[in-house]
Amino acid sequence: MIAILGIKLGDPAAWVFLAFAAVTCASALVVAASRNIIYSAYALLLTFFGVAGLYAFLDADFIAAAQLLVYVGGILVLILFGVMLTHKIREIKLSNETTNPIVGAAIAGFVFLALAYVSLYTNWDVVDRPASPTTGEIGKAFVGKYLLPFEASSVLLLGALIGAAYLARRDKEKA
Amino acid sequence: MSHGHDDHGHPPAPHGGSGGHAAHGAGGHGASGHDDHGHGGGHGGATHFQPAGWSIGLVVFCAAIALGGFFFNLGRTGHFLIGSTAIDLNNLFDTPWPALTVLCLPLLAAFVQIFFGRKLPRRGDWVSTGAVAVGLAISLLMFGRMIGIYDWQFSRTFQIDWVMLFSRVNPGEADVPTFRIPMGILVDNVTVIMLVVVTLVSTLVHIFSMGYMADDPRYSRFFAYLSIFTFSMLGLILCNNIFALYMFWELVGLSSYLLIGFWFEKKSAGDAQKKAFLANRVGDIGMFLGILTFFFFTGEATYQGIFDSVAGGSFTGHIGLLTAAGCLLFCGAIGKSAQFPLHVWLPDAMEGPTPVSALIHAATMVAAGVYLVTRMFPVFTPDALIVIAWFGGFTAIFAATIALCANDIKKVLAYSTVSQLGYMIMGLGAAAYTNGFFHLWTHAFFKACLFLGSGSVIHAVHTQDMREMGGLRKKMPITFWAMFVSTWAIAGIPGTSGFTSKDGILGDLLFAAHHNAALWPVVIFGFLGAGLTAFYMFRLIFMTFFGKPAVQEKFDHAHESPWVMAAPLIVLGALALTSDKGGWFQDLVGPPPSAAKQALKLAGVKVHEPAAHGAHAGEEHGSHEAIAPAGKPDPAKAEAPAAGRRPYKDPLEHEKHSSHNWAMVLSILVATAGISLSYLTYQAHVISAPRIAARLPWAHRVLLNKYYIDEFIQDYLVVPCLSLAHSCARFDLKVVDFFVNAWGHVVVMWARVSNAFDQKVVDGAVNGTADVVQSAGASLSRFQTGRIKTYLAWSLAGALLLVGGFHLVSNWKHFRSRPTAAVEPGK
Amino acid sequence: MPVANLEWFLLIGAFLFATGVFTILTRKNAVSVLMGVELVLNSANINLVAFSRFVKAPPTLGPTSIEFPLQGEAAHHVYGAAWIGGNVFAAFVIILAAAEAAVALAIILGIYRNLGDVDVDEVTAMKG
Repeated sequence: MIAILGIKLGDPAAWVFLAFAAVTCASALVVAASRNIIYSAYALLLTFFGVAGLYAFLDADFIAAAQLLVYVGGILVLILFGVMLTHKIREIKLSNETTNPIVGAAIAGFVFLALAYVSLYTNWDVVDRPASPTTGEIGKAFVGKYLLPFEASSVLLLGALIGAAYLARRDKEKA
Repeated sequence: MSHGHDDHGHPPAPHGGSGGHAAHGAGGHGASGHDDHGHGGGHGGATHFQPAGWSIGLVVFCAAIALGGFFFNLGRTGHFLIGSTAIDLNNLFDTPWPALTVLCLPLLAAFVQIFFGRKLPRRGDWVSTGAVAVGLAISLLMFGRMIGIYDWQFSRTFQIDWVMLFSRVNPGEADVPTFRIPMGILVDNVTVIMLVVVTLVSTLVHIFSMGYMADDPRYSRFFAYLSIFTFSMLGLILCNNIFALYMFWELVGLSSYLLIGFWFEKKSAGDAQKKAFLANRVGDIGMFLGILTFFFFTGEATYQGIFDSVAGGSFTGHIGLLTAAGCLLFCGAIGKSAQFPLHVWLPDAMEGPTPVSALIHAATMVAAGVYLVTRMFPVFTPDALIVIAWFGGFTAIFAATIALCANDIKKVLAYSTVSQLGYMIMGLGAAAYTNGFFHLWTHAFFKACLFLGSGSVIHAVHTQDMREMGGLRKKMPITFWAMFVSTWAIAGIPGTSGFTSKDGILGDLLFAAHHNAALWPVVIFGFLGAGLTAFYMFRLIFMTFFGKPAVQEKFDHAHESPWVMAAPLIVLGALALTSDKGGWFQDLVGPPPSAAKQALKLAGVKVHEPAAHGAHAGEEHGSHEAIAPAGKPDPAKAEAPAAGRRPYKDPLEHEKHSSHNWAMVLSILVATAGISLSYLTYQAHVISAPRIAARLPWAHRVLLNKYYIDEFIQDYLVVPCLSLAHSCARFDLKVVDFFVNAWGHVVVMWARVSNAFDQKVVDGAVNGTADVVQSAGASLSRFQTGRIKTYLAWSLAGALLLVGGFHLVSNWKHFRSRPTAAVEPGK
Repeated sequence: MPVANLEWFLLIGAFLFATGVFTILTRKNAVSVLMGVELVLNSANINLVAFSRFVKAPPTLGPTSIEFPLQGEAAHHVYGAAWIGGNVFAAFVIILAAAEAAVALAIILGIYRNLGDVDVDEVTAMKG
């Protein structure tokens, strides 16, 4: 069986995985390269979906669900709102200009190369561990080992909410 | 009390020429009863006799006798009863507290006077007077106790370590004090006698000043100064070591300075105070050198320590220095006691208020020099004593001759003081320890009386010139009689205190001259001086109190002084007659064993002993005394006649007997001659003084100008000093400054070079660095575009570089061994 | 084991990261930049979860200042398995991303109100 980095080409699940990976990467490219910001946003939606699928392949059920709920349901909607609110709706072309694409591409390429190099040439201490549901463990970790960060993040969310509301509201004198 | 003294512009000096008699009744005792402004020219001299004067005088005298006698007897009997409580005074000398109380009360009073004096009732004079009066009471107690004990070697020391320097003698052991200067008080007969002198005269002067200074705007300050002086003088006589002595010595100098210049509005007073201060400094330098010499050789600061150390041979090998050190020490006495070369300040010091003259410049402070010689007597070698005797003798006659021609009543008394101090010094120098110090005791009273009397006279007639006085006898009976008996005393009329002491000095001097030919001129000085003293003192009395009034107007204004001024005169006049009586002084004051002779013997120097030439009895005694360790109670002396009473017996008494007889005859003769001449000249006018003056114009001129000493000092000391100073200044300006300036130019030039270097090179480097940094910053600041994306790009690039570089370095060998990156699948 | 090896996930994460960086660097629109940031966060999340799944977990809770009453397997049983840390971190990242997106959009709206545009290149108030 031909295996590329552990993917057995005869396994249908492998193909599904590859499909998710391809969708993720392709839509990410669209996000990066699209001239229309609306396209970018919808491509981002696809990316989030793809990433959620990858989480599923990683047996991270809770994170995959959270990815769908928070990113797709929350953040992406926020971003779309952002797009809508910052563009005059009458403008046909919601421009999404790019500057210095070559420099950006160069840096991004080098970053990718470096990361890929590290990924491939590091001797990871991989263990064979059977898949197990994560939600219960995460729940225990949230109220056990990670209780303090969990509480802190809740405070952070509250602060972010208040801060966002404060920042986004109109100034009184301008109103 | 003061009915508006401050607001009438009366000049501070009572003799300042103000027509008004504002200086009269001091506030509370206007009861003396006569109206200054009422009497004009119509008043005759005799009619102004105060009926109450004599009775008041009698009351004062009796009160003084009663009070003084009370305290004296308390001390003498040693115990008394208050109600049923017995107070035991036998241990009066077992603690330092009586003496310390006497010492500290005036200091306390001075502080009170300085800070609160003006606000106190009566401007605080009672504070100072009370303090010193309490001191007098305690002193009389001590005096009585001293008489009660009657031991000539009585001595108590209370001392603490004042300065202690520790050093490590043996390594590894604790530090031990190797350098000590003790501070303490020494109470012996001399101290007690001096205490009585100082507190008694001081008290009387305080009382006198209440009247004399009543109108002075700086009344309370005057009393503060008096208190400071009293404190300093008491400290001087109470302290037991030479360093404290020197401190208090300078303190009395300071008080003297302050009080001489008390009326500093007068230029003459300011000059006089400076003169006094400078003249004293000259002497004090010598004294300080002497102190240091003694301290250097003996390592001791206390008197007794010095005596013991000197007798123990600490000067052996440098025995000549012992004489020199003694002479240096005597320099202090020359300055303070106004001996010949440095006497010039004392007559000028009469610019101070008359009570000050009486207290400081007649009775007490000027006697400090005599006290110094007395106190340090054991360390003076025979040679040093001869020097001292010569200085004293010469001063005695020298000052007496000047007094012959002086017309200022206070100047006469001042030169008389100088002369009498010369007698004391001369006596001490001639080894007449007892009589020299005795003269200090008697002289303090009659001279204070004379000064206070002169103050009273000046107060009355507002002049100091005797030529403008005359006939005051009737107007000022108390003053007259007090001064008259004091004049008997100073002139040496038998029966008075001055006769006893002066005759004692002259007798001892005659005896000493028998054994040391170098003293014969001093003897002549002494007897001639005695005659001259009698002459000029009676001249003073005749010119002031007898004869006809020279200036009728002044005479008419004259009046007896208020009782605060008269009372001290009465007391002092009585003391002038009686202070020598009883013989206790000669019993209680004896010369301590001479440490210097012991040191000379140890050093192998033949000592010239009077007794060696003389007879039998004294030799045994004297040699024994010399061999005995100095200062230790001599067992030979312990065989006292009565239990507990140990009077001093002069071992040379028999040898001196004929000398004293001769001296008595001679001194009575010269005194009689002096008085007669004075009478013939100034009372009977048989001899005309102006004619004699015209006959001997040069002598008259020399005497009037006080031997041109001041001019001599001016021309040969001050002017050369000044010209030396000027030439030094010129040298400084021309030569020294030239070099200094030249060096300055060099430095400036060097500084210019340095400056250029600094500006060009150093600053160049600094500025260059700054420029580099600035341009680097400017170029770098372009990176700070404010665009987040740029930052991100750069930080990513940096991160990549770091990761790449780090990886490259850490895996260098792997790169070389694996040139091609084989894609190996993970597990 | 999953169908793919760890390196697959890491490579996909690296690709997403590079894409996100490119987006951030090249886009002028602030909202697009925000999208890039989300891509970067997702790539990090993929890595975290992948490590959590594949890489051997530390045997204990690790050094900490908190005194846990239980240690070892019992602790894992009560406080959560050791390997779950990566997933928990990913959850925290998602939380942070939500907060960040909210605040970032608020800021973007503020910029838009003040400048009339959302071009991040024009926002140079912090230029030195």
